[in-house]
Amino acid sequence: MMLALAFALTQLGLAALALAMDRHAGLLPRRYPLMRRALRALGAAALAAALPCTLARMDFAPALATWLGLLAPATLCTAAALAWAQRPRHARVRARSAAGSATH
Amino acid sequence: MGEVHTWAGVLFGWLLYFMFVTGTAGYLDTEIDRWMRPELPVAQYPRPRADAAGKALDYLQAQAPAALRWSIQLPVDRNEPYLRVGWLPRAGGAAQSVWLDAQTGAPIAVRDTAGGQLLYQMHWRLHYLPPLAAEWLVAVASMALLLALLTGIVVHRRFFADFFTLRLGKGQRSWLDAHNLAAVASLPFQLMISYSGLVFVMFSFMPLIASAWYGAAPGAARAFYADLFAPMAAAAPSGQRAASADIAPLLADARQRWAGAEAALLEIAHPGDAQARVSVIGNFAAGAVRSAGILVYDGASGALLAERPAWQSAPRAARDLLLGLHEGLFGARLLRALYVFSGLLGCAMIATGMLLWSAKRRERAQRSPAGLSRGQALVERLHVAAILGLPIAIAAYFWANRLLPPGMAQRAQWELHLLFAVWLALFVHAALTPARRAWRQQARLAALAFGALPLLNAIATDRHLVHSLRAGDWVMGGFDLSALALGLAFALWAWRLQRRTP
Repeated sequence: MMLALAFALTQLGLAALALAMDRHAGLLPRRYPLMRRALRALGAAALAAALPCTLARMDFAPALATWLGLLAPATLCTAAALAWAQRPRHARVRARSAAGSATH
Repeated sequence: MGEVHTWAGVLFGWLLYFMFVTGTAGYLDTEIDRWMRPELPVAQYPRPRADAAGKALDYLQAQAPAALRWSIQLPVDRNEPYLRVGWLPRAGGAAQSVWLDAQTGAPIAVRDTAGGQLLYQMHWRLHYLPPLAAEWLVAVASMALLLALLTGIVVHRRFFADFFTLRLGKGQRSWLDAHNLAAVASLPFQLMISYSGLVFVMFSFMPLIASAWYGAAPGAARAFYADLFAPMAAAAPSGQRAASADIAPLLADARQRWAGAEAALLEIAHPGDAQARVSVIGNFAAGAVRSAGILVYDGASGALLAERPAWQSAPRAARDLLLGLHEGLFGARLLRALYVFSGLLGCAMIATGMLLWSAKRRERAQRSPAGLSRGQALVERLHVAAILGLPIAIAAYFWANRLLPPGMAQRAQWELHLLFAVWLALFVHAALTPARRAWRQQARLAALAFGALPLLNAIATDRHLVHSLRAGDWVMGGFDLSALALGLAFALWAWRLQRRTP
């Protein structure tokens, strides 16, 4: 249970950090001032909070290794989700620009 | 920087890929061992130490009373799930090893196999090479990996801006994204594994460190190792027989001295002699720091003669921690899964790096009139056998385990020969086939080789998948399921390749 929570927090943290980046910020519905900072803080806090979750279940060294190890699947999941989220949008943009050039 | 990164990758890519694939399989060595010895029952551990040790001693006393040494591996955890005894015959000859049923003490006849252990050891011993040459080759490759990782962080400086970025279906760009992503996602693991890998071979790789204190004269190295790994309370055999001390009180004494930690391994020198020595050794894989206490008792009187604590010094503990982290033996299920996952990402990092190199050359060649040089074209073809051929060869190793006749001489060696023979054949196939077709054909072969393993297991043994799942035999069943998953993954790969090429 604690380990599932650790993974969820790692995943949340990385997702927040990703959305705080210019490249992926377009996925947010709206932009607010300070949003980027808030997302970064949330991301860092979630990643930090995952460590005590692993520590609750094992000794320090395995807990630290697990904490770092969880970054791998979480990073991959984030990247896959972002690739998936951004693909249809590109297709739409391409379709729109193609339609635009056809009318001209 | 870019040059260093490319050269390190190009020169050592295949070797590093081999080390990563076999090393990653090594995180599941015990499970593979078990699949390759289907005669063994479902492991039950930990067993009461004194009971298991007593059964082992009875067996050794009956079978090898005159041996030089006995060793008893107690069933303690995932890493050592079975009771196993070994002895070194006095008459000379190879060390013998027998699995015992921990409940009855009866021997279990297992097939002669190289098992998961040799597959795992291949990632630093390689094969067919003298040990020293293999060690140096592996050390230089590890150094190249560390260099490639560090320069890679600098070269792919868009690394952080491109964090989480994966653009699919865009040729070279996609390989670069995949290469970066695989590396970034598992960067802590990759840095740890390459650095700690170097620590394993440090005394061969940097012998001058020891020479500074021990001199460079012949025999100095031996003196250094004797100091580092000192023999404890060694004695010559007296030639007089004596009754052996009871083992249970020794184990109880060890547990008390180690604050409740239990023994994992027993070694008995000159059994039955008045100068017999019983070494009680703790579990080296109990924690991340790879160390354990050792106690040496007088085999006749049971008196404690020498002691080596688990903690000796901070530098030594730092080394033991790096070794422990590298091996990951302390990891429970989740951490072990993460180790395997990170290892697979390492394989992907190296494979995509090599493919990226080829994709770049091909793109450049399409723009120039000269086209792809013959060497580059050959490398592009051979990459197929290096990347896909190795998993197929490992599957062939598993097939050999089930298909070679049980009583065959040198059976374990032939399993290994078959692995390399199949790999060599796949290299020949790749060299003679256009790259696109070779990718498709070898991906299909890999899908078949892994996907059909559970079927082969069902035919060749009575421990088929349904039986394993019903009996709760998760190690046996897990292997079959993993083989199925790998087969599916390769089938998916083959299908995608098929769709892309008309």
